[in-house]
Amino acid sequence: MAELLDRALALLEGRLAGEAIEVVVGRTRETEVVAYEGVIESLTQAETAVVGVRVIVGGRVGFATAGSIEDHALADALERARENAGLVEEDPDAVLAEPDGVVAPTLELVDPKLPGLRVEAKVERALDLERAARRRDRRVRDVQHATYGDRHSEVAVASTTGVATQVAQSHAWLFLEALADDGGPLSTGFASVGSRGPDGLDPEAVAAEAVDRALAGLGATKPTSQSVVVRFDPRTAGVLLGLWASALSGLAVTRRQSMFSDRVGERIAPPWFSLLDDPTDPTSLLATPVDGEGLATRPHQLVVEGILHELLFDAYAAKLAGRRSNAAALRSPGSLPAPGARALRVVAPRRSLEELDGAGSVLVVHALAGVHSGVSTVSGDFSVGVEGVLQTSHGPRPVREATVSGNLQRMLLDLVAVGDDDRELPSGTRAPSLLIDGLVLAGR
Amino acid sequence: MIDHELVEELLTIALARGGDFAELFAEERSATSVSLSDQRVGALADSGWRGVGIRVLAGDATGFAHTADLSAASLREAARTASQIARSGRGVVAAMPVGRFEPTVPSLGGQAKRRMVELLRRGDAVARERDGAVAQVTTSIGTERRRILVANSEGLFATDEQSRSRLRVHVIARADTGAQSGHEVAAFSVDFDEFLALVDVDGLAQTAAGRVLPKLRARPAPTGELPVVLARGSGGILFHEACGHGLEADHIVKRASVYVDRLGEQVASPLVTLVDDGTRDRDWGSYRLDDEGHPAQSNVLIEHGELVDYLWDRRSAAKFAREPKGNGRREDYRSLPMVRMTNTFLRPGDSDPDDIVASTERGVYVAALSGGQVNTATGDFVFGTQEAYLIEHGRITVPLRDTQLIGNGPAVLAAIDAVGNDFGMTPGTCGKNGQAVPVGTGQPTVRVRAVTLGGTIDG
Repeated sequence: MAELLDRALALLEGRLAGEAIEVVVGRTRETEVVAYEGVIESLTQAETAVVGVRVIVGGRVGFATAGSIEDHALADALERARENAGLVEEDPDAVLAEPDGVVAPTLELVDPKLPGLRVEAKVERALDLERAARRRDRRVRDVQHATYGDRHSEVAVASTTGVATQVAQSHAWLFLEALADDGGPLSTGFASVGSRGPDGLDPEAVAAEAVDRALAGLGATKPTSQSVVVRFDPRTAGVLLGLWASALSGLAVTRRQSMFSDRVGERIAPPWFSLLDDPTDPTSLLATPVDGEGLATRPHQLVVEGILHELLFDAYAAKLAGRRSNAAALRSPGSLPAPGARALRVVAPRRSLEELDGAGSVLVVHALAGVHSGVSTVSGDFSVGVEGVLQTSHGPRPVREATVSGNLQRMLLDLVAVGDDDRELPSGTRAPSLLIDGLVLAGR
Repeated sequence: MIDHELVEELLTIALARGGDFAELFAEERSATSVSLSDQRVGALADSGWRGVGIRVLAGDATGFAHTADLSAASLREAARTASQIARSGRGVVAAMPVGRFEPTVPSLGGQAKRRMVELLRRGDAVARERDGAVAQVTTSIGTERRRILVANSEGLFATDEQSRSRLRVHVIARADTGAQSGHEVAAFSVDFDEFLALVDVDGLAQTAAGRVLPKLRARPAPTGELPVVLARGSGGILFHEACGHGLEADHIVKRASVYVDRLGEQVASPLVTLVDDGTRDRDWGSYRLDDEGHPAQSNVLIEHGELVDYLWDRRSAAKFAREPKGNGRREDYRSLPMVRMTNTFLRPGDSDPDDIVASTERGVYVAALSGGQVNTATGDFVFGTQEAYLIEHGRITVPLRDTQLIGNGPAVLAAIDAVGNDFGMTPGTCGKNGQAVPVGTGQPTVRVRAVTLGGTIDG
């Protein structure tokens, strides 16, 4: 079904002389069920559609969106984008992506079982999830946000520079937060899992992970301040990988808004560590055959044996940097593109967690807080709230109300080891545990 | 947006299979925004959409369906969908079709849009002129108009129109010590014409640049517990995180807050009187009606340290046989309403702000925060600094690199030992369960006896 693409292509026929036009049309069908105390707390069903139209005339860029994909909505968005382009100043580097001959990979991103899945089955999954968490341990006090969700989306991109693509994807996920207590203060633990369809979701495993995290935090105390070696577990390591990758945006680097500006070709990590962004890898939940501007995706060798090798570019960032896009444009249909990573993968020797945690006094971090307020990818300053377990010679000691601080650039260089516990995260990243030296734990 | 008769019919359909309460929420929004980065004007962007969300409450269950198609047929289908899922929870529900579209009227003319770009240019120029170390400036501006209609099975039929406008200046400065960044925002619940009269773009750019430049010679923040003085207006986020979220009654209903069962108890220093007020003129978190159709109110939450009330939306209030108090909000028609804050602030006290600093032997002075996060179940919260200095012997001295502060809500509220006689508000965005809404936070100059600083050198 290329219905969306047909609509987008039809709109391009309204092009006026001197105009470059790009149309993105998206349609999503979604369901979300939240269970609480054995019944449905809420069940939401909806279908949404959006169009985004970008018009460039003589370097002037106008953009408009509408919450409908009917022909006259598209025509209206084009008209408004055109008007807006007439009101701003020229940017000589404003550009739309142009196909570069790279052939888009064939990826199966839709689970054919999802459209046929009845609402009753979705409700059962949410109820199963909550039930599994509540019965896992008597210390579970409550279970919140026990959610089953799914989404089927289609996006078409067409432009007067020759782009014409349409991609369909499906996603299903489970999420919950468990609250536990043992007579003392509450401890919380969350878990989530994503898949292309319902079969990849195991309520028991997700419930177990959330509950076990909550239980691990029982009796947690504020630690004394000290220098620590930290093992970020796969979920929190995934956040770190995302922060490093966001500083590898070609736009941020070219505009000197990144801590990695001027560092291409230099050592930024240990020689045994490489970082790859591979949106063509179908095991990533953010895999896609084409990027947000419709160019065929390709792997990005961001860090090769410790050396900063490649940055992430969309068409505009590439033009600013005097090169071509490497198809790293991220966007939702109703917004403008920006370069970024989709499917991060760590290439490095793996070591067992026993080995990692045996390296003396190691803080195993399970949850981060305040990443948006305590981390700068400009200066690299990193200071975040943590929950986790300090592995000491006297046994494990859960900690809370503490921060871990350092500098993102230093942390990448101070990587000690990578765990053998890789997880494919809902964010698209496949993350293993990362052991990092030289951090400061702040508490009492 | 939708005529009265159709609304009545839809509410009847929504309750046709039973249920205790039905509500229709219609929203029309139009927005314009543009940014300037690296001295280049980006795309001038318009967005406009409208849609309807229908919910049905049946016991503790909520059925919800939303659609962007405002045709009578589609709305009837949405009402039936919501009714089915609330009642049985097992019904087979057809997906909502998307169809008819009526373009929303752009709220801004060409002249206003040109003025937007001029303001961005001005902010960029002022920040760059401030100092040669300013290496990069990003300015962004946006305005939006939102019309809502709320009708429910209890006879409510209310409409409101809400405008918001916002200008942000973000500055990066660079020296041989590395790069640093900082920002400042002006944001008000006003339309763009009124915003033009209120906004001081020069002042905004000066503040943003003035915030970054000292950090080029900043030293790493200390580690461990220290007294912290928060400048007026900068630290309201502390109260938003330390107790605001924990006082939202949906957390209280589920007993997932450290403030459960504590009404009437002393939960903070006697110096603390905390108010949530959605009626403040022009403030970022203000509105006339909340997204359940109830008028915004000024609600005292903590009075002289005593917990006197929680924040309520319709659902949580019904659980406790209370009246909703104007705190039911949603990001848009596609979202279910929840208990949310509006403008949450600490009332001024008696102390002279200068005396608060002068009486602090050693500590940290926070001139601006960057945001925060709380776990309401444990009360642990963090907030990050974007402009902070050491206090030594009662004087503000060396600038500190950005860091995070961490504390536990009730403990920090109890440790407030000075409240100034000044006051300031800061606009922000609050996220909860995936929904973002505009809020204001505010306070006078405040000192907390001890907060843990997440620095990297010994305190």
